[in-house]
Amino acid sequence: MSPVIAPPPVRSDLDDVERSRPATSVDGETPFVAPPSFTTINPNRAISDEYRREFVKVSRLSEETLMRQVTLRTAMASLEGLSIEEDATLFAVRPERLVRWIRGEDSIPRSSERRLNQIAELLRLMRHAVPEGHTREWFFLSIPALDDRTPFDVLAAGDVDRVVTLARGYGDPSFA
Amino acid sequence: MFERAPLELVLCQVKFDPVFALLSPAGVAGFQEGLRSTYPRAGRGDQASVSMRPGAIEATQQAPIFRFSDEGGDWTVTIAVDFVALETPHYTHFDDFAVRLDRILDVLHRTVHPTDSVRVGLRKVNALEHPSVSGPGDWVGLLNPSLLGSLNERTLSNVTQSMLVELAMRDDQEGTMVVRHGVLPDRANAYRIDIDYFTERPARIERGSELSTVVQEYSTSITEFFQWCLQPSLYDFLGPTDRPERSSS
Repeated sequence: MSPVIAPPPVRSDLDDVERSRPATSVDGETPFVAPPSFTTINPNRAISDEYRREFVKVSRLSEETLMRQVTLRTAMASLEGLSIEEDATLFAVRPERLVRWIRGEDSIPRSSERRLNQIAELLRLMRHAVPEGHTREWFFLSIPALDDRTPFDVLAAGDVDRVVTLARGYGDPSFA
Repeated sequence: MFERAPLELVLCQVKFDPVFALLSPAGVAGFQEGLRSTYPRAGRGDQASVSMRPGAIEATQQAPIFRFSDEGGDWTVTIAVDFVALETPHYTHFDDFAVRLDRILDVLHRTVHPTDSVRVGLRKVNALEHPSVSGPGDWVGLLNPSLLGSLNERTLSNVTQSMLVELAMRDDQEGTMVVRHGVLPDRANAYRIDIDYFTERPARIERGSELSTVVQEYSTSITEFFQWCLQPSLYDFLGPTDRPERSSS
């Protein structure tokens, strides 16, 4: 019988996920879980050290700092359909800075907290009146109560309270 | 689609440069919020692992992995410091998978804003069974002879207990399809075809980007390869349903 020459193994990073999957998934049959030479979820030493350093950084963040990050990211989750430039206008920062905040590369300063909380509250209030998927539409809708200006324009001009007050009305039982 | 769909797993993973904010629940909060209505069940993977080798036991800390599943537990989204993934054991049509993936990429873009992808992979695992099959040699006549290789040789097929073959193919768009197929000793009546199509070509991670197109194309190619594996009798046995042409795995 002639010897069989097997093709060389090819690394599959998808096995990262296979290893992390709970036992209810397909990985019960170990022979089809790729051999260790295929897997890459175990970071090499350098990556591991890098992760460890970042762990330390994250764990040292104050609760206040973390809360600002959570508020921002939760707000971003609601801003469906808006561009990063438009998002940045709402938060009154440059787009590049907003991206660094989202990624956690820069801390969100206390001075930005008020605006951040106002936009977060606005988005919470909007849930009463604006269906999912229509967020952008609402921001660019001319509204009589805003003198026929759009919420986006009023926010861009810095009059956040006016838009928040408008949105509070959406929670009023008389609003239909 | 097939009445007796052999699909066991569909998995798409998008890797990106590490976003270290994702090491903490605070970093994942927005992503979770954006998907909560569809994937309300949340869980977290182990952060530490223990490895043993002669004379040493080593504890290794790993980046946490966060999982979000739908109510039925059929769809799971996984996010870690350097990847996001969507998996399901079955779907009605790949379009359903693609729409979900697009939504996940949109939420990821808004709440994590990773750089371009460094790797995109789509994997489909099929486990074929047939009443006439009790061992590896019985797949002759049901599967493409080119796939079965040595099993076409009667003297070998009569004595083969298990078989595992890996085939890697490169396309002209920097994509690689790896196919692992064969029969496992603990399930001798099943033929596994595990197809993993991936690329390291960068793509923007957002809704409707080239990335979504690539995944759609990979799905089609995987399906075509899977159907190439089937001989007409096995194809008919699986019970193709909604399409006149040979349909997806």
